[in-house]
Amino acid sequence: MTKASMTHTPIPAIAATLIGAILIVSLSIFMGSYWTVVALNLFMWIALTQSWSLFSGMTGYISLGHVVAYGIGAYLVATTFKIIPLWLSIPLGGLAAGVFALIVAIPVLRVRGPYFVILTFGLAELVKFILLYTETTFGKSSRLLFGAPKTETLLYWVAALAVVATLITYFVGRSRFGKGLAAVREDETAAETVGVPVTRLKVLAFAASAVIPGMVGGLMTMRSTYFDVLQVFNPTISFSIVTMAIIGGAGDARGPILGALFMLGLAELLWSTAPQLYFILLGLFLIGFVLFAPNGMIGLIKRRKRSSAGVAS
Amino acid sequence: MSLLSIKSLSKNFGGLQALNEISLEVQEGSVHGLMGANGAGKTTLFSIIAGNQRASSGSILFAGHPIDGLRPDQVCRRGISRTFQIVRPFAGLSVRENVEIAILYGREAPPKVSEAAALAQEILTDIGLDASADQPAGSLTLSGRKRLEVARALGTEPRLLMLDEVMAGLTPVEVTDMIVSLRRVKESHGLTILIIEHVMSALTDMSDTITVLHHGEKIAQGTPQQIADNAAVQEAYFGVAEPLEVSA
Ligand SMILES: Nc1ncnc2c1ncn2[C@@H]1O[C@H](COP(=O)(O)OP(=O)(O)OP(=O)(O)O)[C@@H](O)[C@H]1O
Ligand SMILES: [Mg+2]
Repeated sequence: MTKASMTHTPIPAIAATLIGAILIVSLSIFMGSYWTVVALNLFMWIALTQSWSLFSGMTGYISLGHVVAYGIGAYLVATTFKIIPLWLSIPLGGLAAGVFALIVAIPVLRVRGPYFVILTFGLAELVKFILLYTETTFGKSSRLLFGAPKTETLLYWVAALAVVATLITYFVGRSRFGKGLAAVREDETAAETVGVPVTRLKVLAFAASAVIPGMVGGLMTMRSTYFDVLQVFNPTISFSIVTMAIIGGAGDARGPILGALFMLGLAELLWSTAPQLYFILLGLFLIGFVLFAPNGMIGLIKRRKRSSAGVAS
Repeated sequence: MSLLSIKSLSKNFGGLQALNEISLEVQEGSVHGLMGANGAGKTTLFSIIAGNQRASSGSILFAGHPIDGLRPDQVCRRGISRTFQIVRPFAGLSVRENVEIAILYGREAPPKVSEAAALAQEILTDIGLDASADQPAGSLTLSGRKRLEVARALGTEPRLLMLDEVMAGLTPVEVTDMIVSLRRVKESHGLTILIIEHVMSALTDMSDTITVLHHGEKIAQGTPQQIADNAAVQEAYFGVAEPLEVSA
């Protein structure tokens, strides 16, 4: 029973996550405002994709509606700006997103596979148009937000959320909860037959995966000096999350980090010079990964490690 | 004392009467065999007991308490565990993880996560799968998958273990191995077993009592010898009244 348990100590993983985040934050601030924004975006995508992976990566229910959480957080923070202090409104934004997810979870999680994907996408669009209608009815198609915090301040917060999201994914993966979610992903009938309370686990993971995106939405809306429903509920945000998760690999805390780094790296290289090429390459990579490496970059790395260690898989 | 007590259980799928007023007592500590031709309703009975399907009418008592209407995970934690005739491993997880999940969720008082792997390994050793513990469950052979069904069910620490054709498709040697393993775990875990099996010799070998279902009806119950001599059973199986051969 030499390798019976995979319970390595978590200290190196925690240390690596913290040191990596601190290095990127300090380096980017040192390198000036352009790189500060790049780092802010990087941490934003890591936080979002990591949270998505907590639910979708672990359970196999692919959500195409995670922008709702982001949008709800942004909406709450924007509408209460200068009324409620940010240190309170941002957690409240996360809470609101979590509560919303909890409410829709029961009906939404009744369907699986492509139906779930389409349902979450449709729900996100529905919420977007309801809020758009509400805002225009009250004559507020966009709100100006003066006096938002500096980019550096936002960077600290978003980086902290990315770290927290990463550690949550990491620890959940090793926990009883994570093993239950893996069973749900593999076979729900078998899972409940061996005692896994399938519905409760799915609902909890779904709600939990919305909280950090809600907070990120609240923080990121401070970045632009105005609030616009169409911008914070843009379905592209959901698509990007899924793309990063597929390219990086979900179900392992390192996957979303790799995915975000890869996509932002590609964008940095091509966005300003050849935006069309950026989208073409992104599409090609997406297809390539789905077809040939469904577990993403992290899956490729693990496979290499295994074969170089001489272990047949 | 009867551990499981089924009263007038019926189940219909639309117009099809899969089970018709079945009553059955399973004695604590016994091995109770269920036989019947294809489509007799055996698997349906398991699914209803385990909470995977709802009965149309009737009641089920387990250890004196009603369990009908409970969710499968609740039934499992009460102490009933089933295997699936068409195996359902968590294919992408390792063999050991399959059992760990059962250990962590299926018990009334689950152990710590850090202890689950060692407990799973013990069960895998009992059931002869320890060498495959690190393999993905999806890579097991049929015989391995059948064993995994049993190991996973044992992980939940059941009082009543329901085995649905765990020997179907195995070679004679594998059948013998399986019977030996089952006997051993029955003794060491103090189990009561309800077993469906088409391999007649295995069923008569293991069972204290056998119940025969035919088109959703219970047509006979008795010791293996009584069942072999039973005219109604001959009739249902072969259309002629001729005694079955029973190995003693
Ligand atoms: N979900 C279902 N919907 C409709 N009919 C079903 C369903 N499940 C089982 N049946 C039918 O109910 C009857 C009993 O099926 P069941 O699987 O319980 O039989 P069985 O005794 O286990 O047979 P076998 O020996 O082939 O495993 C069969 O006629 C089957 O076609
Ligand atoms: Mg059957």
